Amino acid sequence: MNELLDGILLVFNFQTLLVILLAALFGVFVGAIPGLSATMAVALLVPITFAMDPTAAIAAIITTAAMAIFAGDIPGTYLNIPGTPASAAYVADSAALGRAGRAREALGLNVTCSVIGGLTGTLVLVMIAPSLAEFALNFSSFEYFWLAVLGLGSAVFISTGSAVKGFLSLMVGLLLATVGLDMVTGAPRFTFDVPDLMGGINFIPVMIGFFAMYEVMKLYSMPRDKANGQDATQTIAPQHGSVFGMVPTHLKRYWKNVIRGSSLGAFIGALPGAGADIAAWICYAVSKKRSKTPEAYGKGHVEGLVDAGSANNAAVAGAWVPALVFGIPGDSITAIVIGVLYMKGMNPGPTIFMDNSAMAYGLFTAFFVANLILLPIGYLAIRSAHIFAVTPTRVLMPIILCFCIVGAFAINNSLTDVWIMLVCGIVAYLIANADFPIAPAILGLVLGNILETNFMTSMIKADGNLLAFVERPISIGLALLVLLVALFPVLAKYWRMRYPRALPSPKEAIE
Amino acid sequence: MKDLLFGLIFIALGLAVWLMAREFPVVPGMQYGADFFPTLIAIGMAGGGAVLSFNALRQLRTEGAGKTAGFSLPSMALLLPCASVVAYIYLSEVIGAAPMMLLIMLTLLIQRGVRLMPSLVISCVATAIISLSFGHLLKVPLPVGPLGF
Repeated sequence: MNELLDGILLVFNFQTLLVILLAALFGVFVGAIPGLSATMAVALLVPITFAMDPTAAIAAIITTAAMAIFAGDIPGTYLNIPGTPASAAYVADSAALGRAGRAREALGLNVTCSVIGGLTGTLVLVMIAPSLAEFALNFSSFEYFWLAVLGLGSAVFISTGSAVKGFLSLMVGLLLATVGLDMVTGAPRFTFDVPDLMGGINFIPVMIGFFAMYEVMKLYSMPRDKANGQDATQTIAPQHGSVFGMVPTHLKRYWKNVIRGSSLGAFIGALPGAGADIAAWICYAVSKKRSKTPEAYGKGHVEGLVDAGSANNAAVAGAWVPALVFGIPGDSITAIVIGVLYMKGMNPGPTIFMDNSAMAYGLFTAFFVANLILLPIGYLAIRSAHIFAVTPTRVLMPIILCFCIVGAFAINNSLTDVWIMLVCGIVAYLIANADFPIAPAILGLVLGNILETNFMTSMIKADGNLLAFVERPISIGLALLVLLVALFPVLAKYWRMRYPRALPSPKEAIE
Repeated sequence: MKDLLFGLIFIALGLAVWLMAREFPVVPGMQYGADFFPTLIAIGMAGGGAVLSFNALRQLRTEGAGKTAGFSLPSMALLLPCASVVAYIYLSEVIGAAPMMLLIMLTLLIQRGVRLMPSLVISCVATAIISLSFGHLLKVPLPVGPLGF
């Protein structure tokens, strides 16, 4: 009980609340500008959180992520350009509402669903994570090995696009993870005699390169007229109505969708490798399939909006379950978070609720506060949406580039990290341009060491006997789960053959 | 076409990783040493690359070269952000971090067709904010140039 109070007090002090407020404004801004994703917002935020105390730093990241995911709906509704990939699932509906002058109504409903979804996801996190952690105390290196394989497998097979390309992207991440001193033998690998690389590649410059530098390069790779043309076409239809006026009516009618979207979203978020964007796509598809009026979807129907709008925010919280309990990220945002947690001395793993219980409760409180602050800040953002329409990305990208350079440098005050950021930006640009997904590379980088260390430890324990990996009951269960994930593309193909049009095709999902 | 190229690149990368991994020291008595995981990754890369190029070749053959040869070169401006980062790495110690950032932003803004005055104002304000927030609030030792900032 005392720890709970301590945890709450860690958040309810002036400094942390101020950080949350600023992070909320930052999240809205980044999320609402097309081309700047929620992950990029978090990656750019990390260097700034270095000077903060752990709770404030984590609270800032949570708030920014939650805000950015909601704010992605703002340009989606007004301009038919989703601000973040997580808003892309229902952009046709929200944009149709916007064209009909009902943008405020749609966004008001959206922000309410986001809050409900976010709170549901938080509840799931609060209820599941501690008991799962207790269970996970029984895990040995065998189980952790399978968990890491499960995370990597989901990243390749459940993520959108071609599985071969996902696999190759994963290999790039795993290769990056092997750089540095080998943990078992102490031999330097791929360090090319650079002393800064001995300790391994730092996550944060890689993330900044993959998510921020890459976006800058993408803008500059477009011919100038085309890129500027995108800015110029931003005109907003005249709007009427209040933000929250119609919300009770819609919620009364679609309360079941809110519950379904939130719970399914939190569950999908908790799966390693599947984040808010995939949650939104699946919930939109489920909603359409179960609806009485599936033909109205995509033409300005609020039902899918309710489902997917609550799902993407629920997934943001759900993704923290595996991240906190196992140190295995649920999506690319929590991949960054895991790096931050280690640096703040809050090592993720089943013992986090024992060693650091006050901080863990503080984290839960921060989640509640972050989702509640969504309502007022979201309202303000909806009323002042025209600001985001007139902020052209061509003005922001040069500033972001300088942020990237200084941010990457700030982590260790080392220019090597700036080099890493640059190289990763170029690699991300090249592989994304050839339709390779980026998320598996990130998961590979984060999980590579966990995978290798646990494999090596298990092999030493089992004296080289591979059968030991499937001898314990939990490990064989996890191994079967890995098999199921590996068969997912086949099952999905069968599903699509039996129920055509039930699931969106993966190609659409990337857009 | 792109897929074929990337498939070949990955095969080459896999080979290179494998060759480098063979040099890693072996601990006697251990079945799996430091080279085990890199070797697996090398096999994965070469195998994945082979599948990718094979698929691309098959597609080329069935659809004809004309249809899949969608190689459009990106604008040369793509090199500008990369060159800026390299310039920062080498020159920030000489002329200082703030003037370097100012130069980078100014160049990038003007390249995108923002007029000179707005570019100047935006770069100055953004440089001031970044160097003050990182250099003074977060105590990051950004290199100081001869001008004192």
